[in-house]
Amino acid sequence: MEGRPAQINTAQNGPRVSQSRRNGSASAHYFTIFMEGGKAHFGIITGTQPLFSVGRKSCNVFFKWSYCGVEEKKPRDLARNSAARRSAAAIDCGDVFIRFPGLFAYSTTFFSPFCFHSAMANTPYNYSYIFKYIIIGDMGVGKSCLLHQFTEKKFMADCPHTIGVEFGTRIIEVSGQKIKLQIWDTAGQERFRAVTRSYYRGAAGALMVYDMTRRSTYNHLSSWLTDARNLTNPNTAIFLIGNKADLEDQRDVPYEEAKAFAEENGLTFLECSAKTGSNVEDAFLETAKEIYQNIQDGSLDLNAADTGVQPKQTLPRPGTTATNEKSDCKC
Amino acid sequence: MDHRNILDERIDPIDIFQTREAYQRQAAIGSPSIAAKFSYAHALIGSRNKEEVKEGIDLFEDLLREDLDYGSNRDYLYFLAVANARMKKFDRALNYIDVLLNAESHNRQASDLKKNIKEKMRKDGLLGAAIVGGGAVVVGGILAALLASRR
Repeated sequence: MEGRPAQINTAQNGPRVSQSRRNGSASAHYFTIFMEGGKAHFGIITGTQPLFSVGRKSCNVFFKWSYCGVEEKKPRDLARNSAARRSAAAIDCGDVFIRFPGLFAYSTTFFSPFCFHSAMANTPYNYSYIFKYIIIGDMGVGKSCLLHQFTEKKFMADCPHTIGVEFGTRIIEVSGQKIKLQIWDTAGQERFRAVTRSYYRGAAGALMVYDMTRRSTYNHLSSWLTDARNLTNPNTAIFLIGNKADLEDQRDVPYEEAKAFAEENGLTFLECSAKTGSNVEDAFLETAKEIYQNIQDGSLDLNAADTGVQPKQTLPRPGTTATNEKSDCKC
Repeated sequence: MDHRNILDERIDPIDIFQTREAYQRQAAIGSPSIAAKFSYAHALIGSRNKEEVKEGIDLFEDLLREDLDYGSNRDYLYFLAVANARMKKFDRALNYIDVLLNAESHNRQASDLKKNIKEKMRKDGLLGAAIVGGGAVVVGGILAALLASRR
């Protein structure tokens, strides 16, 4: 973690205002980067256009320039100003201000319609890839608890049945690369079977979970596996997870049996416990490693549709390697 | 593909198409099964087309009346809250999620949804205020210009 050098640098330089103007039309847009309270702010000062469209458009322009490196879309003057570029790159969630001419500055915290929050938080900014995972398996095997344990490092006692699908995210590191895992936890109840199938599409990894204290959940694995194979792409890494390993005395499925099943079907197998947290990290990390390996050796083609992997479009920014994790962003 | 919350989630049109086919096929020979209706309604509320979302809401309301099983009613309440929030009918959305939360006060998924709805409501309210405010700025500008030109 290299910190946020750009932001710190500009903050040390004290308040700095750099202004640039995109000319060409009668209604000029002004882009402003200004320092306030040690933080970089981006502002748009609008001309005569309706606020809404100007705000939105300019936000996009800016946002693409600073995060995705879409060069041709950047405001030319601003890009030439390297100080502005650097402070722009350091803008954090919640620090974005929208400014109207001679009026007042809105913090996006209060002024969400113009907010970049979600856009920013969604941006491949801190990580190299996004991997999409799904968690499948019978109801009550502990899918949501696994996810909760992985994302929050907490065990959720009496967790109600999931309705439809839930999301979880966490940034992990594989071979020095930051990867954002976007995990879709599906409802296990039979009546959701048809509904959740639509979420399988485009998953890079699938965790197929059974409860090692209930054999019936193990017996249903073949039907889950059929779904997973049919509805995901051939490169999807499918993992077999035996949950509730803390309840060894109630074990109903021998380790060797599940291991043999996994080998037969080309799955990786792990027993873990959402309650104690043992092996939970490994389940998610090993899957990510396998996917990453597939990318490295070229067996997973990033240009193909629905791979469940979204690479960051990297454009080296001068003097910055932003790796700060903002998983608890308030947006 | 990076989704923050369930309210922004949208469904692949192919799912609407497929579930509609199944539903209509069953409707043609009699009354459609609850499962078919549920899948179709769930697909509809994920549509980008507001008319279809509305149709989905109607179907879920039907289901809520017809299906007396509590286990599935909680799902209908949840999806009705989601769909109404997507339609920006926040009062209705909050009513539905509150019914669910009354029955399951510890349901984290439901309380997360409530948070999401309130957040969306706040954003939308402010957007409305911004448009009104923006209008005021524009009107103010025109007035100023008129005054200036009269001088």
